[in-house]
Amino acid sequence: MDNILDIKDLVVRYETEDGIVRAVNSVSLELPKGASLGLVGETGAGKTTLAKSVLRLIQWPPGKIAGGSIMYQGEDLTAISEDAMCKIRGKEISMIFQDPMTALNPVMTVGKQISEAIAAHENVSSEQADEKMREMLTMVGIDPERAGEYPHQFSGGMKQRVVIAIALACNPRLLIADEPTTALDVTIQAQVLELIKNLRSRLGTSMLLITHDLGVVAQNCEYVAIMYAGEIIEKGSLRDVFKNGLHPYTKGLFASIPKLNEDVDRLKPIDGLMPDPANLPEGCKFHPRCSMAKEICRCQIPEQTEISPGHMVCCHCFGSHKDAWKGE
Amino acid sequence: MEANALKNNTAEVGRTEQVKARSLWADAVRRFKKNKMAVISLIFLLVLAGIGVTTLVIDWATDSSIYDEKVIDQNLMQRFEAPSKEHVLGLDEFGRDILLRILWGTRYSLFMSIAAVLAAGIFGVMIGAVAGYYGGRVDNVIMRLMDIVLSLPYMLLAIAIVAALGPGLVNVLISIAIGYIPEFARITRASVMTIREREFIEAAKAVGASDMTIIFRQILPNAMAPLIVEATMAVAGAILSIAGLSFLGLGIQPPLPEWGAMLTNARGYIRDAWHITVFPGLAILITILALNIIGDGLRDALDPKLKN
Amino acid sequence: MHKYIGKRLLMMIPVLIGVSFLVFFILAVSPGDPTRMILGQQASEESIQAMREELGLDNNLFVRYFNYMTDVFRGDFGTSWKTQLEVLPQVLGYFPNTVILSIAGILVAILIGVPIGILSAKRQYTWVDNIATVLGLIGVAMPNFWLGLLLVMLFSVNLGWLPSSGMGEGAALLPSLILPALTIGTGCAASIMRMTRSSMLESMRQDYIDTARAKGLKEGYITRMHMFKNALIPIVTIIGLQFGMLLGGAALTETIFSWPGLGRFMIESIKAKDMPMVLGSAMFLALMYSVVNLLVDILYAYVDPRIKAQYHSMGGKKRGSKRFEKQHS
Repeated sequence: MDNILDIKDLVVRYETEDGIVRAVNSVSLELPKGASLGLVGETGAGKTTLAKSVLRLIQWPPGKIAGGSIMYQGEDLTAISEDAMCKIRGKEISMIFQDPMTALNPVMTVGKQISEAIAAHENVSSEQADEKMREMLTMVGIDPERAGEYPHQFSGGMKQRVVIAIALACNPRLLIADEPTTALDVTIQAQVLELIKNLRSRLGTSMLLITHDLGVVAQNCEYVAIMYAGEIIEKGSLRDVFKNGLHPYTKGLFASIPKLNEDVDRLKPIDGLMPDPANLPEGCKFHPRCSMAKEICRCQIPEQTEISPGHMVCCHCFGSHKDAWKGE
Repeated sequence: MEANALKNNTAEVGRTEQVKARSLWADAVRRFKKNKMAVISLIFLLVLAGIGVTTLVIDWATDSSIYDEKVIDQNLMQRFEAPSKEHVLGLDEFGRDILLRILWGTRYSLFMSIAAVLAAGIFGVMIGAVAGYYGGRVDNVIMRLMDIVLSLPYMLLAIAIVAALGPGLVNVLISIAIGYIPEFARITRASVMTIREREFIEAAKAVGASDMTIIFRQILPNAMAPLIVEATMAVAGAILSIAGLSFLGLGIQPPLPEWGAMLTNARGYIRDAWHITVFPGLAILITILALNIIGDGLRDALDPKLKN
Repeated sequence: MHKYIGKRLLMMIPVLIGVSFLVFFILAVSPGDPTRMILGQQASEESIQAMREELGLDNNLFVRYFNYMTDVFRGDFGTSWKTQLEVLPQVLGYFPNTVILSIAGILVAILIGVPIGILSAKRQYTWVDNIATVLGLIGVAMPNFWLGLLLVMLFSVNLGWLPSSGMGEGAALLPSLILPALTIGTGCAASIMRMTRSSMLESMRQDYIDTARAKGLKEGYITRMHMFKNALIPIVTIIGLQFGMLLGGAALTETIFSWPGLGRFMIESIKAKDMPMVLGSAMFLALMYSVVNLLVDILYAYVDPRIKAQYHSMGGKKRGSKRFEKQHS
């Protein structure tokens, strides 16, 4: 199978005065062409950093990609020149940002913010770029007459539509959506997701969807990866992870959300907090919160184990040390 | 009975606020110490202040005889003498030692600026506290007045006041101070307004503390941080303004050794003796530089969020 | 837009009244009897009384202010106590020279301050940034009259490249303008540089810069169109504010370079105790500052559409804290 995106052993760090923040630690992730992958994790797990590093938007100082590779259609994005990267950003891969309130430039008209993306990649006159911009606005359900207005004249949901129009203006092959609905009202969330879904099917775009909402993943993705403290601790198809989630953290996540088909009196939150990425625990990053943690979890980082084709788990329960784990 | 309990409670809240404040200051001191440039500047300034005090003590002990002989009296035979071992910074257009004049000038340049800023601070804080605490029409009238003072370029205001009052130490001090009042008033007012509605103020009101007590005991300590930063910067500005006024002949009058006044005649001797121009100006520059660095350091230490 | 400018013009009226009253109040209460100054110590009691009446000195301050302003609106700023010349033509003769000097000074300040500030922010933590920061600190702390003396020492006395005083005419204007403009502009350049740097650093870490980068725009374009445009409000503010400092400093610079401007004229009038001249000069300088502030406020609306919107909805915003922003840059 052809992967449009193939991330191998990616390491991203922020080197600040107060120490090194290990935001992404040896992450490997692949996204098949045309498919949609949901990246799930708590706030602070490193999801946004991972997404930004695909577009090389991590700014030095203080952040940098410290290792690994990001293969996009056979090309390593960590190695190409800045000019080549500019040609990929927005044209091949584009991104929808978390907070529409701050993602738009407050002193530029929304129309200009869309058309400048078009002008950057397509060899068109400014009239043609304007024309395309109006099409995009219509496509995301905004009256093209409002192109001359500024972001502060738009509501949150409308701004997110503009952000989506910007991201899709040049028909990218890969869309990275970083919590596209978190900042929006519930009713608008559904509209925006529906919009992305329709546009994707029309344009044939692959998608990396970042969220902490498992429901959103279930409706929009074929593949799922669970991220914890800068690592992917479990990944596989939607079915693998949702029906047969193995990692204690994955199980914990599912136990902490209400299910419609089961009558549960009490939701079970996972005890504790995510570790501070500047001060990660030894061994398995999850062990301080894991009810099944054993001695080995405290000192050795678990390796990735393939449970069934494509279904990977990082836990000593299933790895080469599983006997040791059980025997203790 | 109830009032008493409430009073205790208020004291309790007040105390935790104080504890919080204390650790805030400790944090600030720790952060400030990390800033090497600021620490060096602070040491420099303390040394300079020490010198200023020493010259005052010497004058008091010698009944100003050294001051009259070395700093004021002219010795035209030796005018323009270049820097040498005996006179490290050389002699000026009247044959007086420039180094001694600079050291003796600390009282006019540094101490007068501090006095002017203190005066501006006292008035500004009172005005700002009243405006912020009472709000409404009082606030409106006061702040519009402050706006008008701010609508004049600072130096123009100082020049106009000195023009009206005439030169002289006290008049210069007044002219320098007035321009800084609005700044202190604005900062105090802003702090008072954000803090006025907090619970411990309500509680203090409930147990019958008077307005003045509340303003001075509860509100002002909380406004200290920005006021200190502003005061440091204002002293730097005041030194510059006093020097400027004196240079124009409107401020401290020769032969008093104010640093700016020392430059008044320099323009005419620029061909004859470079050191007459260079050293007094350098004294002003370095002192202001030190104050600005301390001010920046204090701001970063007191409000680390603002740091880039 | 016209409506907005009109509104701002209307809002300027109370400020102008306040400022002119403040200037009048300060200068009119000055101790000393002007009649003695005009008529000399030997003048008779009657002639002095007649003079007092002519000058309206026995009226209360508000009446005197009102009379003064009525005359001002008729174009009559009074006559000199010393030379008996009319104030207005004198002031109008010096005023353009001050305008030339301050515009040259602010241009120098902008041309030095803004590009270095941008560069310094873009290269944060490198040697470029460090040098710019140190120069900025020194520039802000530099007494500009001292800088003027040093420049004269270097470029006029030692190198002999540029004239050290006076204002040249025609082709000679430019060389005679260089040193005064540098003197008056350097301190402002440092303040503008520091503000540009911190404002750029602020806008550089906003989310919309990520959006712009993610579009595949070139870095230079992003710097200009996204970072700089958003950093402009504080920069415009500080430029307006520096213009005020510059007008205040004009007196010093004009004195050093014998520049025939209003500042120097005012200082000379002060020394001659010629109050009508001082009053007229101060009024003009204050007026010029208010006009600059007005221009800055109008510029705001061009720079930031949100401010214009605010005006349309509320009809006003709070002003007046500009010096504070400068010192806390």
